[in-house]
This record gives sequence, structure tokens and C-alpha cells, in this order.
Amino acid sequence: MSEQCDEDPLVTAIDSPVKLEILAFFACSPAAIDCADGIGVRLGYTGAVVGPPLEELASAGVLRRAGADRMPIFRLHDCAAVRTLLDLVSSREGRSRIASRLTGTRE
Amino acid sequence: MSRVPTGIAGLDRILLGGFVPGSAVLVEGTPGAGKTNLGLQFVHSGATMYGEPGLVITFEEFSHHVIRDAAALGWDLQALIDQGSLRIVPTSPAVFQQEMAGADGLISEMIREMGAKRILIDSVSHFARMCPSDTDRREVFNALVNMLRRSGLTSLLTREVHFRPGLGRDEEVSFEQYAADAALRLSYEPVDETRRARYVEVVKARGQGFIPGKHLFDITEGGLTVFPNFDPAELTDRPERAMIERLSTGVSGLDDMLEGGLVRGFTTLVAGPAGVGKTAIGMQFLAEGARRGEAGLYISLRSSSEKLRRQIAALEVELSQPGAAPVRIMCEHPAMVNPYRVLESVIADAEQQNVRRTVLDSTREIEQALNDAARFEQWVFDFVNRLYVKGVTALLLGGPLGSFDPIELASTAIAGIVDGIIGLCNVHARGEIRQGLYVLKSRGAGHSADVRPYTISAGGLRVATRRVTVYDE
Repeated sequence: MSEQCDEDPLVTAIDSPVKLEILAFFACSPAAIDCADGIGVRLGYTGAVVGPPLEELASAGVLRRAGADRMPIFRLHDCAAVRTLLDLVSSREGRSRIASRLTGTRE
Repeated sequence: MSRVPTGIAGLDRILLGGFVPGSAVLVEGTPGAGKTNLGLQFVHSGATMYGEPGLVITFEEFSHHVIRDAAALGWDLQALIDQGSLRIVPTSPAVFQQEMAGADGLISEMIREMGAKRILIDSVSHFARMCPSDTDRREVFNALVNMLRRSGLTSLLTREVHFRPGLGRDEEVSFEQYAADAALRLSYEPVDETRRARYVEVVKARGQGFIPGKHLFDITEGGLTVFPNFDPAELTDRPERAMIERLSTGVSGLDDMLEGGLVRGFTTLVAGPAGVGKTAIGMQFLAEGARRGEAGLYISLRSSSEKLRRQIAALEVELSQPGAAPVRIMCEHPAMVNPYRVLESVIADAEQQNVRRTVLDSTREIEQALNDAARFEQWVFDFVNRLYVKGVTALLLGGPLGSFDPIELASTAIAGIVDGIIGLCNVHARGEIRQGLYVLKSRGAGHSADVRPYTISAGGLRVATRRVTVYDE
């Protein structure tokens, strides 16, 4: 499992359960290219729920956003740091570490 | 003309080599018919057998589910992804259309980057999400097909179909069929109350020929195996035999009734009730062939290998003798019989082992497995013709279910398909049961009209040289 530090800015960008689910989706479908509505359908949410977290993940550099002049679409930012983040999200231990941090944040 | 092979041998035979390069192929079918598996095999074969990278566009699955399902069929998609020869792209119909339409679209870019030649879109039914009206959907589908053609990809587009109660299974004609370059229809139909069978049919294929009809297929480890029906063109492509060659049956007295024996390449039905000696005739026919240097195949769909060997030992028919050609025995459990797989085994043995004589015991298990008179007739037609093309002389033991009366037998559909019919029957005579043999049909050749008595003892069946006199009494 990755030893990525929880203080890594990409890890700290995962500050909500929806973002964790979005990352888990991209971890198991790394070539996915979709809009907020499409990703929402796959995760059981609406586009309105996943839209803002997708935009924030794009701003944090985890995702890439395309379609400035058309429907915005999202895909993974293919770089070493994001691959390491995905390794973290792909492992049960990594996910529970992030999840407990999220619980702590909420508390 | 060049073709894009699907990598599914039987399907490529039906398509006379594969699809026309760059065509958009619709694959329609009911749930569980095998649309996605066919599409995945097309893309997988492209990457592994033909060096053609491929793309899988999925509108409802996650990549890891696709990878998992493919692994169950023995395909390692992850390895292909790691090599860069495959990508699985979960997306939405609207995004796909947007990113495929422009040269700078992400999917267009991906296709260029990986040099993709094949694409699976699973499934186009999801375009209904974008456009509820039929007119809009038709426009979107036409645009999609044109985009795919422009990209130079050979594409498979799956589509779900729903057969409506009251309509025939083949009633639905979709606008997608008109727009696509080729259309395959897959179905998963009940055989009886406990079994279903899969069929594939080429509904249309622009710019190419194909073998028409519904062809059976299986999905097992390794993927789809398609069993094509007989293509009549094989008969016309084949040079005619200059003369009729007779083969000894190995049954004393029977060759005389057949005026020299069976005709090479012909299939003869040996019909009769249980226990009259059909198996003995089959064994003697193969033993005689082996003695003459002709390899043989005995297919038992009713007895286990051990039971059959005991039966052979009891008959004292020598199937394997020093210096003789080999005789292979193949046994299948009746419940597991796939008639077209059986036929493929016969053809494979003819091509690879030079088998020249085949006995199938019995047609009843084939008839039960197909559970449909028309399909059974089609199978017998395929068997007779494919073996004729290969020069294999065959005996089909069993005959139609239900009746062994010579007149009734002659009026059955399969009697018209097989080249010859030998009947075995029990005859009541003077307070005892005697057994009689007759030749009901021998295509293009003369034969005796007698019903002759026979005995079964060590060495097999022996036919008397004179007719049964019971009818004269």
C-alpha cells in the first residue's frame, strides 16, 4: 500500500465522501471520460450532487476538465502523483484511512 | 476483397472471412444472448491475433467489471490495457458523441494516439437517454454511424431488443438495421422447459456475401464457438466424383443386398428398435474400414465408453488390429449433447486424422437435444452434406423417434435427406420373433427389395442370403 502522507495536497483534496467515491470510480475505470450527469448516474447520485466535487477535484489537479466551450467533461489527470493517489484509494486500508479522516473532519 | 476477421472461426466462416473493413456492424439481441461477449471477443482477437488495437466504449459498466467478466472467459484484458492495445472507456452517449465528433475530441484523440482499428460500443440502446423521440434517435444514430465510418474503425454496436408477446421472434426491424452496414441478430431461445440455445443470424451485410440462416453458438471458456449451417456453395465448389466407389460394410450378406456395398461419401440411416443390432452394424462397418486402411470414428451419445467397450467385446468385433487403421471412440452424455459440436468433431477428425468412416449412435439424442423437427432436419442435412464434401462415409444409427414401419420411415423428412436407409425389424413368424433386414433406399444405386433374416453372434451380424418367407405365408 502507498505510504503517501495524509498531508499530501492531493490527499487532502479528498475532503468529502462523494469525492472519495468519485476517486474510487476513476481508480477502477481509469480511462473513463464523462460529464457530471454521467458520473452521477454511475454513482447513484444526480449531476447536481457530483458536479461541484468534480470541479474541485479538477482544480486540485486530480482530474482534468475539458470542454470550455461545450459540455464539461472530466477524466483522470494522468501523472505520477495521481497514480499514487489512486493506489491509495484502491486499497481497503487507504480508503479507511481517508474515511476516518473524513469522519474526524466532520466531528 | 480484404476482410476484418472477428477471430470467432465459425462466425468468420458465416461471414466468408469477416466484416468489410471500416463497416459499422449492429449486434442486436435479447438479454443474455451474448452481444457484449461477441463484441469483446472481436476487440480481444483484434489485439491478440491481428495486431489491431481496440477500444471498448461502455455506457453502463465499470472497467473492472468488464475485465472481470472477460477473465471468466479466459481473456486477460488488463494485460492488453497495460500493453496499450486496448482501452475501456466508461462514458455517456452524449459525451461519446461530443468527443468523437470533432478532430480535437478526447475520444478522437485517443483513437489516433493508440492507432485503434476496432471499437465496441455497448450499447447504442442508451442513446434513447439523449433523445426520446424516434426521429431524433434515428438522426443521432445516423450521425454516429457516419462518425465511425469517417474514423476508419470497424465498429460493433450492440443493441438490446425486446420481443413483444404475440409477435414472432423475427418481427422487429429497427431503423438501426437500415443505417448499419451489417446487422447480426443473436437470440437465446428455449429448447424445452429446462434448456435454452443461442443462435446468431446475419440479417444484412452490405458489400459481402454470407451463409444465411440461424446458426447455433455456445459461450464457454475461450469465448464464442459458432457452428455454421452447411453452405450449399461448398457442393458447387467441389469437383464431381467421376465414379461411384462402393465400400464393404463388413456385414456378411449386406454388401450383396447393396449390390457391392455403401457408396463412398454417402450417409446411410440404420433404423430400427432397440436391441436389433444397429450398434453391431456400426462396429462391423468401422472394423472393415480399419482392415482396409481407413481410419474410423464411433460417436456414442448413449453409452459410456466402458459399456461400449464391453458391448464390442461381447460382439467379438476387432476394432483395433495390428496393421489396421485406427478407430476412435468418442462418448458423450446424452444430457450434454450439442449436435453442432458433434458435427464439428466429425469434420475435425476427417480433416486432421483423415477419418473416412463415421458412425453416430444415435440420431435420437440429436433429435432430443434440438427438440424441433425443422432444426433436426437442418442438422441431418448439414451432416449429410458436410461429410459428403469431406468424402466421409457415415452411418446414422437410430432413425426417427416413434416408428420403424418401413412405409412410415420412407415418408419422414430425413428419409429424403439421407443417401440410404437400412431398416432392421422384428418379425413375428410361427410363434417366434425373428429379425429381418431390408434396404429401403440407396441413392443412385440398385439394391435388393428383400427382407432378409439375420443373426447376431460372435463376429457380429450375418444376413441370410435368402429372404424372410413369413410374408409369403
